[in-house]
Amino acid sequence: MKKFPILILFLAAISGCTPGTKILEDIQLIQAVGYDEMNGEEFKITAGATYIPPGQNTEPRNLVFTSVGKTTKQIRQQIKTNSAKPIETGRVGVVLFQQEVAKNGIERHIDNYQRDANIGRDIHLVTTQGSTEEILRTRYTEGDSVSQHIIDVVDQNMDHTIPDSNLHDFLSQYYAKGYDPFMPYVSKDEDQLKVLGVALYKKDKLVDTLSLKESYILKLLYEPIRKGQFETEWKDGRYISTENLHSHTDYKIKKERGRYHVQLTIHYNGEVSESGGMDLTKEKNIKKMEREVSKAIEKKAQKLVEKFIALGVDPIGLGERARQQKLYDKNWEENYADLSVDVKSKVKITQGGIIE
Amino acid sequence: MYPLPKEDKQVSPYFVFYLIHSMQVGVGILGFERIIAQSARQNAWIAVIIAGIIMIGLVFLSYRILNRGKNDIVAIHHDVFGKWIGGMFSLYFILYYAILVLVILRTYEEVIQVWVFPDVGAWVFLLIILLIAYYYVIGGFRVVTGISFLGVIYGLPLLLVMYFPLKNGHLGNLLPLFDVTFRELYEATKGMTLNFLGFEVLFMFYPFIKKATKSEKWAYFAVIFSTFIYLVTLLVTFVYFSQEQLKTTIWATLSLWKIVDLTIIERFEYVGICIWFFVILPNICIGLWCASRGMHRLFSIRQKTSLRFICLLVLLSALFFRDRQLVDTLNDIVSQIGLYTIYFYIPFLYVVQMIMKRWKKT
Repeated sequence: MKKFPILILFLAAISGCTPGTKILEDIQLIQAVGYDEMNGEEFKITAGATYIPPGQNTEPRNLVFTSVGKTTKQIRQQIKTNSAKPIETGRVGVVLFQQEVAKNGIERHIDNYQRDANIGRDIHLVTTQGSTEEILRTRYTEGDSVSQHIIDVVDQNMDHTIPDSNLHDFLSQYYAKGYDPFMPYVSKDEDQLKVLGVALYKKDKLVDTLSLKESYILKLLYEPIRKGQFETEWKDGRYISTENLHSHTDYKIKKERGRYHVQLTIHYNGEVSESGGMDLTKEKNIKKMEREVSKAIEKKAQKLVEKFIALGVDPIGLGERARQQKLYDKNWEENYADLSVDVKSKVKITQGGIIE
Repeated sequence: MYPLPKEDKQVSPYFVFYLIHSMQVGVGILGFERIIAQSARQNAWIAVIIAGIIMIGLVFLSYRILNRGKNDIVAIHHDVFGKWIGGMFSLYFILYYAILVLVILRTYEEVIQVWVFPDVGAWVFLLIILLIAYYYVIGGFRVVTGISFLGVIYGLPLLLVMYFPLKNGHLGNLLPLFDVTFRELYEATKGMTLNFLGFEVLFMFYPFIKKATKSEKWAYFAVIFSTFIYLVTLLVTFVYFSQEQLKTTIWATLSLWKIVDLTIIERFEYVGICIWFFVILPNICIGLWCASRGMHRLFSIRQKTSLRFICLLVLLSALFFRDRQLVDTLNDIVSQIGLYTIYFYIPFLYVVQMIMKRWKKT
């Protein structure tokens, strides 16, 4: 019992040092952040949050805070002045960049997110056409919060149409020598949020955007996939559509007389989902279809990779793959512009559907 | 002069596995990737294996020394070098154990401060952790052994969450294999040594092991298991991060946990840091126990008194290292000291002890 007073003394001394408690009902969790360009120096931040009014069966309400300033933390400080509750950023799930902001470089904004221990790594970065404030102010669905809706739309598209990307992937590609990052590219159309394609970056600056069709080719080249539709013109304006069962791409890089050569082979296993009026019972027709699809993929992929080279960006990581084959050196960047590319594809199609 | 402990204070031979393994895997694993990747890039994993093999060699030497001396390092020093010079070397070892505790404590405290509680003063956590450690160490060696056993068990589930970064990773990051020069590998192996430091506690608790000569194989298992843990962590980190990104990441293993996405836990790294406390605690306990035991043997004072003295010493010096730069410097210095201790002093002691033994016989 002699030690009891000492124990009390310690408890009293330490209790003064406990950090401030954070009770969920008493803080404002920010779920989405948007960056809009104001003028060269300043930009506007829009923070999207949800407020659930007390009571039973209440609908969550959409809250939006905006402020203008020069650094993210500074603006966050200002945003706090219009909020009734302290702002917490631990639950940010999506960060939107207006394309004008993206063109000027987003490094200074991204730095804030990679430095902050409070921010997760699987959050989405998105480039938008049009004001992010408007996107965050619109209520798209009744049930979900706006930020959750944005995340869901982007996630769903990453499964089917555009290549996978999150903060970690962006940073990983941003820092890597033989890679350039990309983001989903969205816009608001009437009262709907729409994914337009992919925004291509050179280092931290927006360079160009890809359409949805091009994005799917990028997805084919970038990662192994198991989903998505690929459409091919048959003849006389008739189209066939195939469902991607699984696909992956092999890269071979050679250096001949100081010139780099890339050989891409796309392996594509598909299933017919729209036959365009073709008789699929004939072996010959299936073979022909494989040839057509293969030709179409080759043509589109070739065009896309050449576009990347012309733009000087490398979202599929040709440089990284060269490094893996010990071919990446100083000359790579200089010679990137006259890289020669050859795309081959091996298509295997099985007849699909429940009718013949 | 240096009596051996009674049997009711000893532990079974297989506990050597937990004691050594828990001492080797500590705070270093949270950020070691960056340091060794700086020199050997994607092939740094080779350095981990090499360092592991060297450690096995050093544990072998340590057991030869201890089996010959049949007592702890203080007694061996006394036998080999005499009272004064031997005493100096023993004092060096006591300070070495204390400084290991200091590094572990201060580095872990930095993690807490940066990741979890930026607004709480450093001394609060230093004090709390030291009080907890003091409470265990005062219970004696068996309690310390128990806590190190629990530390290993609590830490193991963290290996499972490696699944998430692997899912997000690119295996190609590990290519090209074996593209590394001897010099780079040497640097990386040197950098890896700091992480394997800690098996030297063996020199102090050796007399507390029942049938101590039989415990040798468990020490090897411990080193092999530590190597395995480091290897898995390193490979997963390399697959997940690009090399350039890794250079900017101070705590790569902690950042790995950021991608973990469980249904009920959104941000796993906070859970990870808390679980990691149970991995850090045995480190601090074993270190404190060794340092205080050494003082008790050397100066013939009560272990309780020496423990209090060392706790106070560690606390005061930990307060001195205020910011990142100083903690980094501390880590560098200790890594140098540790390097010389294990690579030069252990073989030196082995040779001198052998000569003395022969000389005394004739």
